[in-house]
Amino acid sequence: MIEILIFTFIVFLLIGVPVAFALGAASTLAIYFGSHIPLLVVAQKMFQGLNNFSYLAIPLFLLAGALMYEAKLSERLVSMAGRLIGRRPGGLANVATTSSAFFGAISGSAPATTAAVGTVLIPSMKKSSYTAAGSGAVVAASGALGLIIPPSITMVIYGVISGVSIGALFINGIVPGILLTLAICMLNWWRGRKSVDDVNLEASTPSPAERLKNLAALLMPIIIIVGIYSGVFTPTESAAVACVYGLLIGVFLYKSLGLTEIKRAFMSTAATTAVIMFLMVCANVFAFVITTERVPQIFSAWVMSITSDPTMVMLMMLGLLIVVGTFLDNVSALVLLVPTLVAITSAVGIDPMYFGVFTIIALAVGQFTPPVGLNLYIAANIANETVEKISVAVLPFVALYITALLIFVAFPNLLTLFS
Amino acid sequence: MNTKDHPAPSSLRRSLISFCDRVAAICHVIAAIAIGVMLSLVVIQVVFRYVLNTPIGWTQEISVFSLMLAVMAGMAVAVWRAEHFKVSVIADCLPSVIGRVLGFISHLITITFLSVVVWFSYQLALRAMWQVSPTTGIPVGYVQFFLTGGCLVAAFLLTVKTVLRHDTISDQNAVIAEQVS
Repeated sequence: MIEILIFTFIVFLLIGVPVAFALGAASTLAIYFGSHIPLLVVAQKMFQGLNNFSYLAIPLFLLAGALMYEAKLSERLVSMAGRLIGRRPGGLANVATTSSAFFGAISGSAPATTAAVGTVLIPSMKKSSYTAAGSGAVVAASGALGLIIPPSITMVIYGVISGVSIGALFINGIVPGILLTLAICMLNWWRGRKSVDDVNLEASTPSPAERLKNLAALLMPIIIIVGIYSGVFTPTESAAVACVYGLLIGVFLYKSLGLTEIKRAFMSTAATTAVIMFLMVCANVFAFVITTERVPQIFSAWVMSITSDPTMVMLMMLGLLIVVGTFLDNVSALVLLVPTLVAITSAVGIDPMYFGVFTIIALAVGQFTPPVGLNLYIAANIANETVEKISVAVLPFVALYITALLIFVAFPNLLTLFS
Repeated sequence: MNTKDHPAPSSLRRSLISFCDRVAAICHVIAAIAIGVMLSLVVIQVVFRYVLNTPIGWTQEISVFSLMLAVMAGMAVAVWRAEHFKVSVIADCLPSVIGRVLGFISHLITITFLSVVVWFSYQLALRAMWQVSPTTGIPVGYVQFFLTGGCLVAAFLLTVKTVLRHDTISDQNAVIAEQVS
């Protein structure tokens, strides 16, 4: 059964069948031709995959991010970051990185972060000393922080699939998120150290009331993380509270959310939810086949026969995640790999929580590497530059993320400080 | 709508595409409303539990049912608008004729899978009619019809798309266009 599953899945993927349907069709063929299990199980597993209360957190986090995106918070965050660090070498690039970190904490999505920050900053960067490719690369690489800095939708999906506490993933994502933001800022500074940018993002100094208004948006991730970590809310409830908070500040404080924007946020959330969740539904059938065939155990035994050293296993995982993340979007990579990889890493004594944060960072690299790095395409579109040129300009950032991941392999405590 | 028609479309072709666009738009609205219902129910749950100190169980059940409706209605829309994640590296590198053939095969595989799910989920729903949900007492079979209905609509839309060779902007382009706009 497993041979049919793997062969058909790979063929289906290569000929362009969407990942969700490739998972479902390959599993159906494997069950039909490789076992005596009735096909009714396909529908049964799909229904089970849908019928899960913890899945509610995914659309609600998506909605909270969509509402903040529609509230056009990016302009406020960019001007805030501009005043903080703009007038220094590498200033505009650092404003892009810091704004992405702020916006990532609010939206939880890398493409949304790239689009929101890029639309505001790339034109200014091009007018200053940056090339179109260089500005696109900074924004694309910084946008990936949206996956890492909590609350992150990818972390919610990892938590749902692996059973690891979403709250613990969120709180442990803070340190690597800040470290990566600082590392990207240092790289920006080093690259732009010979010139000071012409930062003119905010003509007048904002009043204290305006500053408080800007900070109100940044309260959203704090409400979510503190709410979950203190045990007051479940992740689903905290996401719902975040949506209500986002609606309230968007409508009454910023006055940038009208009926049109709210409708658009709900429509885009519905579309994204369906794509992500249907993938997870089909992955449930796939998981049934690989569990029946004891694939996680077989792979664990195979890895253990090569090495049982956790550092070596993590290096192997890093290689695999980078390669898979380059060709698959992060949700598909998670649903496909996490059940098996968590079994393997747990067998050698690696904490699934640590592995979760590590996996999210490794998959974030795929967000800005060709051929499927969506951030690249978004940045290229805004910068009006070819994806090829931005792909070359983004290489130092790829190296930086991989170096950071190697550091996290060597010093795993950095990813589990709050465990 | 992110669509581009082939040259000289016949009136039947135009009507079919416009009908499918309308079906997709209705499904999209249903999915968005279901998300709204889900959010309201979770908020009600939070208010009853933390403010009124009276936890209620039915909100959880109905919110999960709303999510199912949102996913299955939205899935059909994503099929019509080619928004599902896929690996297009190989197809993009091939000559357009081979790419079109592979696209056709890919659609056939998807339609077959959807048809299998329609048939077996229908069987499953009929069997589950006697079973009721714990707090609301709704027959589970009705809820299982969301899976059948969503796959049926998706299979229909994809069949029309395949027969008419109606192209939609690829998933990645659609996402980029949406994000950048």
